[in-house]
Amino acid sequence: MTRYIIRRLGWMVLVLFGVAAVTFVIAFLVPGDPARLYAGSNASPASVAIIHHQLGLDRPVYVQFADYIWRVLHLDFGFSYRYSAPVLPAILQRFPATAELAIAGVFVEVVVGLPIGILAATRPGSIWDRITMIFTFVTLAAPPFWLGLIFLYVFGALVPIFPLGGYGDGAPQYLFLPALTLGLGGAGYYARLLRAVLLDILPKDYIRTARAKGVTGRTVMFQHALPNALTVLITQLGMDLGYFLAGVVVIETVFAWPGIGKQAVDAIFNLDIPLVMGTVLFGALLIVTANVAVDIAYTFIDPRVRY
Amino acid sequence: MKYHGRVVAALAAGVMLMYACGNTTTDTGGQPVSGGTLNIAMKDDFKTLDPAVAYDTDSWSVERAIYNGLLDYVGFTTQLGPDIAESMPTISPDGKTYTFKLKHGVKFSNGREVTADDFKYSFERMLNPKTQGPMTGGPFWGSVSGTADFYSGKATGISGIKVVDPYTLEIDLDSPNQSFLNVLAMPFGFVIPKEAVAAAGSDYAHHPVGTGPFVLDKWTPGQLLVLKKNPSYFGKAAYLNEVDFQIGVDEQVGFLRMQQGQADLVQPDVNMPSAQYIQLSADPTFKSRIVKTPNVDIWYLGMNVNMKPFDNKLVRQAFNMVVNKANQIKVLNGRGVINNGIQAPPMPGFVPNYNPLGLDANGQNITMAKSLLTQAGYGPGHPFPAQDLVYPKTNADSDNLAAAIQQDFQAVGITINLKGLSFPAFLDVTGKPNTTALSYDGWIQDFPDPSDFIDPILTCTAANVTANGGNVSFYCNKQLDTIDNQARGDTNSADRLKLYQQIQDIVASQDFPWVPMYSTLETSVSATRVHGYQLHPVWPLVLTSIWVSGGK
Repeated sequence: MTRYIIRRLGWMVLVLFGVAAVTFVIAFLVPGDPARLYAGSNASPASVAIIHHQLGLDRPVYVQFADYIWRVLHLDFGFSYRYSAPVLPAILQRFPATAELAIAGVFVEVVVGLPIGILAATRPGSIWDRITMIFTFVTLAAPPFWLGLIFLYVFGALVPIFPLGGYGDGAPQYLFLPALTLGLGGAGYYARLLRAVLLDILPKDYIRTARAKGVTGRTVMFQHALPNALTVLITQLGMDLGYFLAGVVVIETVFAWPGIGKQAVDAIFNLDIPLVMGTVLFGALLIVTANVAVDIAYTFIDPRVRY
Repeated sequence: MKYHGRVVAALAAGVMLMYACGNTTTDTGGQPVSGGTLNIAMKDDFKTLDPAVAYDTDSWSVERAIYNGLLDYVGFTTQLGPDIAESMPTISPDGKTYTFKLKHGVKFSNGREVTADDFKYSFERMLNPKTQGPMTGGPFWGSVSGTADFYSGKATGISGIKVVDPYTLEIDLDSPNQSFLNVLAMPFGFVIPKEAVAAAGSDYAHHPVGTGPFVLDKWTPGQLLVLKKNPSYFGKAAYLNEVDFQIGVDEQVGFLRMQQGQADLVQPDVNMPSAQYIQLSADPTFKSRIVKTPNVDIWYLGMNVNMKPFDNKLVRQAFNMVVNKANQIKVLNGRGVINNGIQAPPMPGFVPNYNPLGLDANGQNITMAKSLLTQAGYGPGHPFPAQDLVYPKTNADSDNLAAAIQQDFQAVGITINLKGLSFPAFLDVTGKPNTTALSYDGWIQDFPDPSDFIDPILTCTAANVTANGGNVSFYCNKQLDTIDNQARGDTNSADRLKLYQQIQDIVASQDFPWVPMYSTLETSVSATRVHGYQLHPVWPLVLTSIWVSGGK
């Protein structure tokens, strides 16, 4: 196990380096001069040229990249052009809000998606199966920004029981609608995934044997069928958590949620290369870490898995 | 400022009639009352509150409340008056030396009195290349004596900025510049205390200290920025105790918040989105709360005079007769007026109903356009080559405005391909020579002086660049530059305005580097408890005239 973890950490470093290199190249391929945006669109060419030099953008790209990597190794992620602030503190300052939303979103996925999946799988072809599958179809198809705006309009304006966006120092009433919007799409996916996996498991011999021995339906489901479906679910759960933690752009924008996703979008539109790089690296780190965590979790869930 | 939607108040009754617009101020609501909090929903976080660096209307909205400079605009006009200066400066007979006397007793919010040394420090810091501010090396401050040596490091200070005594500041110019007082009134001329910069270090952008009617109380990035009334402000105190900027609020949600009483203003420094303008114009509660006023802006098609087919003046003249300008304004829900010139309606020297080409009410003359294209050699045997129209996708109207242009040119048999770009990409491709032949451009004032609509976007200096240029037509006419230089130093206002009108004639009726189309009308709306909200001709937001009823 220790060797496995060390090997995975080594791969992690390589992946992060690759992500950094690709992002850096893309940032320079995108048309536009960051110095012009930093200076303001009315700034004179002479002023922009001075800022271009001051920001070090007139050096060869490979020199800039090498300099960036060297500084990152010393935990210096640079200075954001857009926010006039050091990159790492800017990300860390906003990360708790994103983490809160990501965890709540995954919670909604599980709490809503799992019961629906079980309900549909235990009664295939029934009216319950049809209703739940229509529900999952709708939640999967609805674009999050649209769903978010509808929720805001209905529950924030028409029947004002929740605030119209904002963070409110993380109070639950502020978290509810964004977490629901974030989680519903995933919940639909989880329900369908679980239904499919369970429909595959439920006809198997060991389930039939359990039933023949007189084990109740609930026990069969929760002690025999569901644990075997967990491996698939955990894989998806880990991916989702990593993805959400890396910034949920649309939800944060619609709900004025002060996370790193909204910050990243602003950085992209403003060609804020240091902040784009920092956010991408941070997000990649979270996704890779989540993947490693999932792999390790397999060993606890499935006794057959050993590293 | 290019593409920063910004407000301009009506200056003349004639302008107001042309626009047939509504209120310019919200109801005064009786006697002003002090106290309360104003809540403003903002889409994006603020870039910086360092006046040496900020060049955007969001930041200026807050900076205007925190800082002061030597001069400011009187009330809601474009007339300059003293601010921290005791009076308007004395100007030497050769027009090159400005002497300012400062008011006594003006204090920073840290309690220290402002002196002439603070202005010298603030100006030198603002122009220091290490500050990475947008004025360094540029034309606005370039006429101050000694700036070139300062930029190159040959001098540690700017010789043209002199502290005569603690309350007297002298500024020497290399050549007379009639717009220099406007330059001084820009936020780059705000005064800041040296010790605050020293204490905050590189993070001064988030710890501003000024002399203004408000002080920064709290700024949580991405969430909230709070201003509190400055008890030691030297001018007339603000009515509001507090202003809360709710950050990161999408405009649609912002207007929902306003309707629910959770926000008083929504992104007041940019024009209302079309969807909300239509919706609130029909809302009995809010339709009377919408304020309107002409912007100091001009929107035009830029034709690169160095690229085919626009190197042919006949083609450029023909293009000037094809665009249905009235349709463009329809797309903007009527929020604009046809402009066939290069100056905006509220600008001094603006010529009402300027129409040198004798265009019809839509701004067209299709018959003449076809004739000119034939003269240029285009016809059935030699069709006009399809052109890309490069435009920035800056808001929901961008695509529709460009599509309307496309339809106009179809009527004369010219194919226009639409090429919408992100704003950074648009600036990049239009700012480089020989890169973009036809583009949809706009220019919004830095300050209300005609020179600002010529120097950065129509002179040879502005054309002679390798990147990041503002003269998207790369148009250069030495005669125009000569008149422009003459106007810059002309101390007679009436003569000076005539010179700028000559320039307008050269551009709009002789050389045709642009297709001038329209100037816009700014619209904004406030909650019912807000009183005294008024759009300023220059500043993106003025908080000191506002009071609220009904407490927080």
